[in-house]
Amino acid sequence: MSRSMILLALLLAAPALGQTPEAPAGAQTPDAPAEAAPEAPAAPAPEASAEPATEAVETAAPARRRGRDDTVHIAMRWGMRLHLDPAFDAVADDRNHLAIEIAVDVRLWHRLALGLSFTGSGAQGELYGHDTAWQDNSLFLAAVYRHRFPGLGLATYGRLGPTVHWYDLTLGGDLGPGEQIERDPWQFGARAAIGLEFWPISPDYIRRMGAFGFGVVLEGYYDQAFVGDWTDGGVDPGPFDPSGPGWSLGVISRF
Amino acid sequence: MTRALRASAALALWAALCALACDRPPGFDRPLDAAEPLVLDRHVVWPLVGQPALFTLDPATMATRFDPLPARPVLSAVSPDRGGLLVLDDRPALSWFRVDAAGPEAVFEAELTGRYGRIAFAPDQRRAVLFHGGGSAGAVLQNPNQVAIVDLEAGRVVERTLRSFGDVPRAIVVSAEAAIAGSPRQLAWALSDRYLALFDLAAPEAEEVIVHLTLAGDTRSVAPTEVTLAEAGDGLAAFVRASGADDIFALGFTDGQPGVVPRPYLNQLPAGQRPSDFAVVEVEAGPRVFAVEPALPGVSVIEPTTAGRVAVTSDLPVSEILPFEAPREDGSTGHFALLWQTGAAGVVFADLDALEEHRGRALTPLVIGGALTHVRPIPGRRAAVARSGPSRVVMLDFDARTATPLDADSPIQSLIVAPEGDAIFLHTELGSLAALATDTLIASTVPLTDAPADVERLLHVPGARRLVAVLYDEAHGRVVVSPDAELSPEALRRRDGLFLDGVFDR
Repeated sequence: MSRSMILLALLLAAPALGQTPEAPAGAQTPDAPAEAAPEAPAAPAPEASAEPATEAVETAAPARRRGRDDTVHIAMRWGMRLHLDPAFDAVADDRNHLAIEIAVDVRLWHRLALGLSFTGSGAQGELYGHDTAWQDNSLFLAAVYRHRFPGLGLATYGRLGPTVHWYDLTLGGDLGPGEQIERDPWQFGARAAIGLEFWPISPDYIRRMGAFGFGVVLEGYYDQAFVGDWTDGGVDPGPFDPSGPGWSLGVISRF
Repeated sequence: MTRALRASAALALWAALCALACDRPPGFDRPLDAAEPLVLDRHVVWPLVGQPALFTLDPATMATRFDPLPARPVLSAVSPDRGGLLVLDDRPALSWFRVDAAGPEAVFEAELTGRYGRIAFAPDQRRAVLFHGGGSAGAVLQNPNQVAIVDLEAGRVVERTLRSFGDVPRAIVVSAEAAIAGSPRQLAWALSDRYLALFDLAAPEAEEVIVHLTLAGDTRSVAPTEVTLAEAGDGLAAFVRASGADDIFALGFTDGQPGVVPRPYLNQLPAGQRPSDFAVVEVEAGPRVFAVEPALPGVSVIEPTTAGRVAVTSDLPVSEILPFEAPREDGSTGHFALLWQTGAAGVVFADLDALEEHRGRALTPLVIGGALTHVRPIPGRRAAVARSGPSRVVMLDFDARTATPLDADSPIQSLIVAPEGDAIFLHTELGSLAALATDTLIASTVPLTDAPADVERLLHVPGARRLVAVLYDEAHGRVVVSPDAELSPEALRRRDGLFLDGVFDR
């Protein structure tokens, strides 16, 4: 119990540690430059010339427009998913297991986007000498807030929204009908995630290619399931909360 | 940038901590290895040797419990009142549980120096004796004459070695607590070849008394096989039948000192030629010993004080006696017995109260037309149920002198008589459960599963009024539970994966 509380505290503290406060419009901070500068990162510093200043403004304007044109992000992430509830020890040998996610964001307005993702995760183990299997598939509808640091090729983002999970639990292994327990309930839940994107392509290239780009992404998230009833067929394995944190690493592209 | 890096570092740290914190309980990696189920008053308990733990099912509510044990159980026994459970483990140590409506609750634990294979409870559940009995193992050097005297109320264990005269205790019989010479005693008899060791559980350190059944130099094997304790004459007496002996040995007590095991006097009661079974019953005329004599064939009625014997011949071969009580027509309680022999074609109903006086007229033979394999009296009735052949039961009514056969569709696996005597339960090889009303002989049956099922055993849990059919399942336990008063498919409750109940909470 206490161990779970410590882990939960760590989990809650992690977003706070990594929080990147959004700068107010027009404010200048070391990590969040002013709006005008990041929207035209690729524009080289204008050299001193005799040309009128208005031309320099005209040169920067298309770059700013192109930088805002990326409307779709597609990401594929994979990483580890952790179950905080000790009950998961009955399901698998390790509470960490692999999770893979495919996500699509569509920018709606300014820094806000609407995201939809599919996550699949699973684990296999052994309980009392017989095989077990666990699978968790979920759909995640998210509101995405993305803040860019174009000069650094970085962006941070946060995602928050509801999920719906389909679980598949098998205790007993390949013992034949009637000799194993299978559960496939579905449950609603919610997920909160923060991430860091790195766009390694040079600003010049971005300027030439418009909105297109690809990069890598690191994300930490927490899945909260609204736990339902696991009883089926008369046997009640007991309370099990599949909620837990996870991290993932992946690739992302935008266009 | 700095904050982003700090966020990543925090995430990595947290993930590492989480990974380190997840220690899986080692019991999940071991098999359950369930031992034979034990029937208590309201529960069925499975010792899970591999965990180690006790798994308890309340068949009335289908509630389950998983109680970890400190070590692997090697021997478990239920007290005579079905309200307690004594578990010996491989440390070695014992754990005593009282089982109430909620399930087993540990009362005390005690370490042991010896390893024991058998348990003999006192009838009042206050004490128990652990002895080797040929079933213990695990020690480099065994002392089969070592016993442990357990005071279950005080939580005290005394281990000691009984003196030996060339043999080891084959069985131990414990009497109810009784006053002998003014002192409370709880005597125990250890049965060995040619002698008995008598010791007092109320004075566990007191030196035992050895009773030799043969003369010095007599090399015959006279092995006591049966001990019955009864009030006779001046007080408590033990009646001992030994293989190879024609007499019943009666051990009585006249005096004794507190804290010292009373020395019994030995009396030999003539019981004909090689009695095969006996019972001591307090009939209307006083305590009598009824010894079955296959060579006669018949039964001897012996007055224990005078050793007077009346031999009554039976028309059918007999070798066993099953005494029971049942009401008479006038409402009084009568004492009766079934006399029978495996393989015989019939059973004899004996009115023990009238046997000494009326002799052969007190015996009622009933021929069933087949070879008997089992006979059981039906409590509260002058009736019995017999098994003849693999799939036939015969209801015997000694008032009407009828023997009514009933045939099952497949071999009968087990047969249970309800404690009240109002019903008989059985299950068949094809996985059907049947109940037979003893008064009307109307049978009701129900298939335990949709398909023929392998029923490992049928249990009756009297306090819960439930029948529990334990089905074969090497993995996680499978049972079908039915009310004993109603057999119907709707009332059946089946549990597959029973031992996984509550597994997330272990």
